[in-house]
Amino acid sequence: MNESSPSKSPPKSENKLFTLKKWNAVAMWAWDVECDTCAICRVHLMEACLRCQSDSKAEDCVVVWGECNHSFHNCCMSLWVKQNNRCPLCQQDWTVQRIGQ
Amino acid sequence: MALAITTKEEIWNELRDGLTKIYNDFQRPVSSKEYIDLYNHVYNFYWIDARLIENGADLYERLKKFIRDCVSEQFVTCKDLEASQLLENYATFWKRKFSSKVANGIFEYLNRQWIRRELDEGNQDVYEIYNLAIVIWKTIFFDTLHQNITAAILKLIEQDRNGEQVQISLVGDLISSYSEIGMEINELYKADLTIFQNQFEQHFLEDTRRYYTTESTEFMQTNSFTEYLKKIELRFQEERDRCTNYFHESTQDHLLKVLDDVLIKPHMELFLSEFESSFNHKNGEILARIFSLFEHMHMEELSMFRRMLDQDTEKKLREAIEKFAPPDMNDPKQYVKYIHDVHHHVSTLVADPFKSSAFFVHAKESIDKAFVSFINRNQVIEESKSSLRAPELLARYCDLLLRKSAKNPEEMELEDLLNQVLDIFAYIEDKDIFINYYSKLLAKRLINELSVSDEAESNMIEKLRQICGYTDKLQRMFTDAGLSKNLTENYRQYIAGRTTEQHVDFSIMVLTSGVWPARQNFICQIPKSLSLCMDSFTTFYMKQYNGRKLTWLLHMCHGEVTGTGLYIKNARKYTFMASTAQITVLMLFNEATEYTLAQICENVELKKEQIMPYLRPIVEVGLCKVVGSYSDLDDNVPDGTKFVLNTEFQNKKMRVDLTKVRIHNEAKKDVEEVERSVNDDRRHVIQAAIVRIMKTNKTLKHNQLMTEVLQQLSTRFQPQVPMIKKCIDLLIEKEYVKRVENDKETYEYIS
Repeated sequence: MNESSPSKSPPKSENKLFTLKKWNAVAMWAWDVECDTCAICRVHLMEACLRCQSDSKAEDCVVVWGECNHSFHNCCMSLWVKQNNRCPLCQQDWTVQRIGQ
Repeated sequence: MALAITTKEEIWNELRDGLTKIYNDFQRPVSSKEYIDLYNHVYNFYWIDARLIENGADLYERLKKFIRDCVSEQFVTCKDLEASQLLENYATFWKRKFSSKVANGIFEYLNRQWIRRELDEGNQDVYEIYNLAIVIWKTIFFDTLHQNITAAILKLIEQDRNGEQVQISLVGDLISSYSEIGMEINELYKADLTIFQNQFEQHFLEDTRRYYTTESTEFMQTNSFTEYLKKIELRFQEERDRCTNYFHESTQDHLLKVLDDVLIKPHMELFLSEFESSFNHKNGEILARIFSLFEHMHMEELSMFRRMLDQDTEKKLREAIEKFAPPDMNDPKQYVKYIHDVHHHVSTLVADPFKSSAFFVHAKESIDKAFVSFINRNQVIEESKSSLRAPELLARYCDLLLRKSAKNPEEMELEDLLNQVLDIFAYIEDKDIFINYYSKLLAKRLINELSVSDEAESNMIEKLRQICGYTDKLQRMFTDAGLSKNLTENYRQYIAGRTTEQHVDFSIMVLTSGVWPARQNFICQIPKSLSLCMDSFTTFYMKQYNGRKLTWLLHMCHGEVTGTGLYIKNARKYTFMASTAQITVLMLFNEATEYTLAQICENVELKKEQIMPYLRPIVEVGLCKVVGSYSDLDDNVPDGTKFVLNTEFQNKKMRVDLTKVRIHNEAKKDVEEVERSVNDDRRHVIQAAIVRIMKTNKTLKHNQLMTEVLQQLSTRFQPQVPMIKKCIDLLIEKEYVKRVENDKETYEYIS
């Protein structure tokens, strides 16, 4: 691909026919997960878990990753670990790696 | 306690004196010392020697005689009294039964020992102490006096009906004696209404029938139908109130049936003819009275009245449809105006005459029913297959109103027009289809910043939510748009603080996936300045958020490119608005002024049919010329076709828009896409509903499940039965539910 926009030196616009001035970009975000469904509540991770849906707290329902890299709704998982401190998918001890935001 | 008492006689004397005090004044509080002493006497009497059974029987007989003497004494003062005095005394003495409740406590030891034993052995003549008191009361008082008392109560009620001042609250006390006597002497202590029904209710109902037959006939002779209606309305209310206040609840049905027999049935023909003439004369007051009377009585004739009303509404609707010219079904504005005009016309004729009466509600209901069927299953609309359907037309009309343009109405007018849309929206059965189209168009408005105002958008979403409730995604799209504005702002500050080589004015819209009707369409090569923007923003974004990934939607990105220095004859500087693929193409022309189609494809890394829609506008404005005779530039253009930059480009406008890209069959694709996504959503929603219903019910018959699903989803859309069946099968496959063994018609929830 041709270098089309000034990069290293200041633009010499008189040399270029076309100059890019403005870009309105559109991107989409999703949780960076391997499997996009929560194995606990069987709802898509991009959607709020059933509990949050019925409490209409959909915006606050985030995803949690374990050290095993498996991911679930944070609220589903916090209920789950009260019963059993293992990952429901791989049975390893559950340690939180990070929480989505 | 004095230990001197050693004989039964002495103990009984103590007991009798204590009981006498209690029975003489039932309102006097009994001290706990007094109570315990008496309780101990009972105990001592029973254990005075080893002949426990004899002692028990002895004590029981003594107490029985004591109570009988008490009641007989009361009875003597009552038996010769005339009606009103009798009722008062009877009621007072009945209240004294409370003394027997106290006695029942004092004799609890006897209840548990000797009496329990006798009952267990099947002795029919022995009762627990309180019941014994009631039985004695019944034999002495009730059996002798009940006819007099019933007659007296009925007299009292009649006086009350006549509007005389009477002590009607007495009735409650008296009636309670009828039902309690039945209950207490029945072994199981279950409500037994036979005594109440036989000794009172029957007579009461006969009396009522007699009373109102006379009243009804007499009243009709001297009064108008309207007066009669008012009168019986009042009577129904009075009787209902009396029933709830003083009688057993089961009486109400029997009573209402009698009233119906006497007050309505004999005059049915009159009712029918009066309804018809009131309807023709738009007399809402009478209609409303008849409606509510018949509704309360669950009269079959009501459905006849409803049909009459509905038929009239439908007739008015047909007239209106003929009156107004049918709209062009491809023009949302015309369509909405047409529906609104027809609705206004029918409302004026059907509902408005009743505006001041309660019948207005019924008339509106009828209009609503007719319009649901008119809008969703209308022939005019069904016949023209290619034209748009109601949900899409409405959504497009909203877009017309909410999209920034030269013709946007004033704020107030906009609100009115949107309310018109909402009125029609309420009638739409497939609300989900509307929401789907709405969301597509809202996405375009938000991404391209074309909304007339944020306030108007969010108001409309709120109003839609009030009607159909499932507008979360629309709301979140709107929130995303606001968040993105902040994000762009923050990013700009972040960029300003560092030495950077970015010379592009960058703004960003970050959509939440799953919420917007958008997905990645293609990936193509982009100029380096853009990929620098992307990388730099991605780094910034990942610092702000945790656990997210970004996907770029290049087909939705667009930018501005200036063209300078190239126009020797004309030094004007043009600005081209272009989408990302076009930006890449224009940048190619910085390197050379001539490319074959194949070279463009190779450089942009898009297929021919993908790039062609973007090349067409560039050629159409004359910025680029095609060598050869391919004027219409369809997708069959040969790979070797040459595209040459027009160095003598001229345009009247300084800003040239290249983004009006026409994707072949876009409209048709839109419809297909909406259809697909609506169907997916529906399957999802139906399954969720089934799981919810099964979770609450555990097991359910097929038909019940169907009814529940249809009912739960009716605010969203009308689910098709085959689709529900398919969803049940899917859920069986996924092991959410199963068929009950040996019963194919029943499902069971698997938890």
